[in-house]
Amino acid sequence: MDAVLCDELVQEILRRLPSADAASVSLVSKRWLFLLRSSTTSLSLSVPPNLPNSPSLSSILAHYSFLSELTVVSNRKEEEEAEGGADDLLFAIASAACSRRLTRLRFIPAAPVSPSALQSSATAFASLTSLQIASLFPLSFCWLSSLPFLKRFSLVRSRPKRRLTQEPFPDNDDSGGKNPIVMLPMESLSLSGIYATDRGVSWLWRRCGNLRWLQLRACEGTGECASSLAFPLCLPGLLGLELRTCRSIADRILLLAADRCRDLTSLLLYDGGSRDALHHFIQRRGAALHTLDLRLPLDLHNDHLFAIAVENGYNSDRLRRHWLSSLRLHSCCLVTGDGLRSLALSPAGAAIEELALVNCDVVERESGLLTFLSQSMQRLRRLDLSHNETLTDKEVGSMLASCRNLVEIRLKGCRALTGDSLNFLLKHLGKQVQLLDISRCPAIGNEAIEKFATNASRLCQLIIEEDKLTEAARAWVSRKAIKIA
Amino acid sequence: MGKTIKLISGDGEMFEVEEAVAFQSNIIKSLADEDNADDCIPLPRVDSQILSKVLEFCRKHANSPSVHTKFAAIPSELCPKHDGSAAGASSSESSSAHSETCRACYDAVMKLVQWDLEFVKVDLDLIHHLLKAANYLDIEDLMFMAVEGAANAIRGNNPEEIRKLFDLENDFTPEEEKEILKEYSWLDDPFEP
Repeated sequence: MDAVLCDELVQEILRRLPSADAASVSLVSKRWLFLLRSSTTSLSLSVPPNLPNSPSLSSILAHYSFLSELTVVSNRKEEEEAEGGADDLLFAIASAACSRRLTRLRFIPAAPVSPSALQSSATAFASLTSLQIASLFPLSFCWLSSLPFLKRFSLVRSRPKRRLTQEPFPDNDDSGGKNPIVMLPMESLSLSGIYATDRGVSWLWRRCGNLRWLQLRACEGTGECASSLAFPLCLPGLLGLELRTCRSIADRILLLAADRCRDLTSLLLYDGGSRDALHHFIQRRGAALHTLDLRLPLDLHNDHLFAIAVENGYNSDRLRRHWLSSLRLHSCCLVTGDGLRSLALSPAGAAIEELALVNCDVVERESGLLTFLSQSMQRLRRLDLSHNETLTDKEVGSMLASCRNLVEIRLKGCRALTGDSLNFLLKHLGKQVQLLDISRCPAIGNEAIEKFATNASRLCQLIIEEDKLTEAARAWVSRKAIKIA
Repeated sequence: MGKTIKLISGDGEMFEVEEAVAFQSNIIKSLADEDNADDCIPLPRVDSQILSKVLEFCRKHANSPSVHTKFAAIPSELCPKHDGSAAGASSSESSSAHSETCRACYDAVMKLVQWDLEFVKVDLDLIHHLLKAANYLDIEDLMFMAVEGAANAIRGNNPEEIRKLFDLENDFTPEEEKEILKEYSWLDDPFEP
């Protein structure tokens, strides 16, 4: 039997396989192994503890020359803290054949990587546009100038167990003023775990003139004095701001943003941010907002919603584009139906296209609220009611009857929902719903899911556990290229 | 009955089929487009057994929407219910409006999907030949299904089983196999957060 398939055909077949089969496929034959590796563009590796005769990162990366995305996570704690092993891992990646082609790199070693290692490897990562590293010590960002295409940078810095003493770093001091400050091309920045005593951040703040999106996570400060003074320099061009669990600085930043972020259209505030600061922000910038995402269990009140309705709703200029189009509220238990109703009735509310009331018990407490909201928010297209564990089929059904334009609906973790909700969905929105999330809804049966999947004519994406799909549903879903997640 | 095309397999057998059936193959279509005085198209690399299977597939697909078509793109001519009725079917908008609400279209495509899945539930030998024929003749839908059939054979099997199915030799030494397995212990499941 002349059964030799050409390389392209074998690669076509391999591409169709889930990654779970990769190990088996690699052991079939040398040719298949080669074809599998050369068609891999995205790779994620966990470096295991160092044992004798174990392969090295370099030897593994040598097989994958066509990578454009790479993630390397390492758990070798003790070794790395002692020997500067994080730097060695970085050098191993930089010297691999694929480094020049890489556009996205996530490097998460167990110990901090040093700025000098990043500086020396920067030339190898000539195409990098997105970089995420776990932690950096000492805290210095000067090496960023050597990555000319980097648009996204993220520092996911977990707090070290012991406070490492900060060494002074001459590069961070711009006081010479001899060299003009060159803006970094960076448009998106995410920093975690910055302390109020950190030096080295002012260098960065001064060069973030091109920043469009800033995320701060679990930061106690924006750096020490000079850094904090320089921080507002990164604000003017921002379109989006996210503050997650930055309790001690949220207010200060909100006030600064209220003053300086003229073009800000998107704000996310989780777990930190006082009532007054938020109120002030809404009064100054509420008119321009189009996305607002809040998880403020203790701080969000009805009066904020009234303020949004007023600021965003007031429209003396018929041509303005900045309607609030997305409002996401999580765990906001002080908000009542009154607040939501008044927002829904205002012109701002009428413009809302995406609404999330995730784990907001107001939805469960006040029956009929959801129906009222959907009747008033005629432009609503995306709705997220995840994690409302006592939300009933009846509520969902009566709400869906009033939604004309809904195309996405998320009901993840709504444990009280049964197949009836899917039937309601099919009945009212079967011809238009494009995305549905019903994962973690144990009371919804497989038959109901199959019926929905095969009858929802515009369905593009279904978020559900794999094992809840019957065979018929699976066949339908793969033919229609419906994504399952 | 429309125009027919004559195809000659590698082992000399002649198959006469309608244009719509034969033109599922982009190669046959382009060969037929050339001005051939003689309307027989030779296909030396496909033998009669395989060619007849291929034509069986093409016949089924000739008047059905493609596997890859999203429903919005089904033109109304292909709908079993609206058989050729041209009520405003000239504009693409009205034909997409038609197919989104047409139950008959969905049923037809669903049936075709089931038929296709059965069609490739054959032994791997035949899938091999279908794969090569689909590649050679450039038949998109058959290619898609044959790849699916081959991938199905591999899914969930261990290397030895896969080798048996594809009649391949194990050219690894035991040391090499151990090395590969060690390497694989590094690879993450991409679906883990």
